[in-house]
Amino acid sequence: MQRLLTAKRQNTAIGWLFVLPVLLLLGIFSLGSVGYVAYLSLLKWNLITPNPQFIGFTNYSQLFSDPYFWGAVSRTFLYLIGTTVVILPLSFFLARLLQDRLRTSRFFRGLFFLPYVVPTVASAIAWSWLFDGNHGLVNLFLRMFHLPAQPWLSNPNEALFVIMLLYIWQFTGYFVVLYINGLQAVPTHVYESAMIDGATTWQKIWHITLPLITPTTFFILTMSIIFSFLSFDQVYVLTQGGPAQSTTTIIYYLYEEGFQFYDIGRSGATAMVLFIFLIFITFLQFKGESKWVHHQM
Amino acid sequence: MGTSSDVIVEQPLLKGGEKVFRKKRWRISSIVKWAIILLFAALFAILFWWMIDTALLSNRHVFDYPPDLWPRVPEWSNFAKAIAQTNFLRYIANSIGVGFLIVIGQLITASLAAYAIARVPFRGRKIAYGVILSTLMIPTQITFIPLFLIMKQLNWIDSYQALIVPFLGSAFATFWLIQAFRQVPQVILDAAQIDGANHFWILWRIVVPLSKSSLLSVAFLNFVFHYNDLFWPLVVTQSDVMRTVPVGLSYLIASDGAGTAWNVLMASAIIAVIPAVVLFLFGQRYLVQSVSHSGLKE
Repeated sequence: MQRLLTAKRQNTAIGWLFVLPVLLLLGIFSLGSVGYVAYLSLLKWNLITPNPQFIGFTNYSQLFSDPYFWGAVSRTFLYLIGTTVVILPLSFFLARLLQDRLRTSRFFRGLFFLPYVVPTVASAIAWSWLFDGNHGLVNLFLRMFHLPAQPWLSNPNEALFVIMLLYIWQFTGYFVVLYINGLQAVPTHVYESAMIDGATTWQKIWHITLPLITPTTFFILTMSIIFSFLSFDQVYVLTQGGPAQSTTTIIYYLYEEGFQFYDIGRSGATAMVLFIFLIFITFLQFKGESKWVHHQM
Repeated sequence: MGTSSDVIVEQPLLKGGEKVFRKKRWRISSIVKWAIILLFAALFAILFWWMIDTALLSNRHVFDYPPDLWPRVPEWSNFAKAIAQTNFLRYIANSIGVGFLIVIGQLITASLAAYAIARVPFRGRKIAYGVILSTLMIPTQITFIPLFLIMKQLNWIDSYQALIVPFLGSAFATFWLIQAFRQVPQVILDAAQIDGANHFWILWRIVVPLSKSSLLSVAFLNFVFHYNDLFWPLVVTQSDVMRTVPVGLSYLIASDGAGTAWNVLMASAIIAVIPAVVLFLFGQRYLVQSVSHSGLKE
């Protein structure tokens, strides 16, 4: 009995000792920082004045009456929707094609995944050359077909579109991997019985595959929302939010307010809004997942 | 269904015949399939080719029309220029060093915590697990302002500490290793404990070796993230010698402006990509595994 008790106490000591480093680090740099940013969002402070001033929710009300902020919000949603409606079907389609475990399939899966590994800054630089207004490959191509060359990144109506294409290029392979994994989890006997019933390929995809992989689709949708909301590097390298603010998304707005204008309160409020939105999305995914999961026999 | 005579004639052959039929159909659809795959692959690979091609063009030919899609006289000196015009090798060393130290730190702290939570029954275990789970959803980007202020307070701006320390604890890595360490059979741990092994020894000599592929997967994925990340290094570095690859590259394109020397810039970008690609070639299995694992549900 005595020995058991000491063992138990020993376990508690060891347990906490082992957990402590991570808890401390996450407590300070993650949880603590969220608390800190919540507090900062209530201050008027530009880092230069020695005394931050407590102003309650003024930063939020100012944020919500700032047309630039709403511009950033609508642009972020445009970016999100524009990328997601392409990347979801495209990655599903490619995953369907590459589903089997052949060596060649794996090679192509790797090729599609490669852009994810490449530093965004490097691919964005190549992208700005690809879409260069004068000598970019895309414009050369357009000229070849006697189509008018486009200014792309220096045109407020086209710049965000170019960034969307970069995002799609970068993340399709990532989602292909996720979809392949989801597809391989669908038991083959389901398809076999459908084949006996004379189902066509499209019927099989529509009535079996898609319903069965909704959890994967949900997960990918959530990831895509998070990735697109946090797309900072792409904007910074390609356009710095311009031209004429046409590519300033929420995350870039946060960067400008915080690290260029040093408006700590405003930037903090933006961070909190972004955070609450992302938590909400994650919560939805969690909810949706338990509702949509198809239980197999 | 065919007539009865068909059935009689074909019955013995049915199996083989069907096989031939299926094989043929498989062939046609697979040609279409591979054609589509190749088309998309080419579309995806074009950027890489365009980078390499441009990096090997001489100044005279960069703006040629029609474009020189195959540099007849490759201008290798662009790479030398790329390295010479900035502290590029230093940036690469910084990036690799920072990424490596972050990942090692994460693996150590995450292994300890994951072992305790997965394998040591102790009071408060659920609370610790809850805290780690709750931080899983916090994107680091939204904490950069407070992190920046903390670094300022510590006088760490423009130092390696600022690039490394905030990321030494990873909720994602810990969460993942908890899943992995739960897979280790209890009998093995019991046997070791009866032999008088302590928890450190069990973790280091039994649990870690048995979970090697999970550890590597986490390591590859997080290394890629930190090697590639621009936002944080951009705000906490100031001097040239502290810059990481993404920061150095972003300054190159920002400073070049209108008279961009695209060939040298592409050469720089390629040099920045090489470590990532090498890593990818060695760790593809683990990277892919880590991505697909993140989509798995318990």
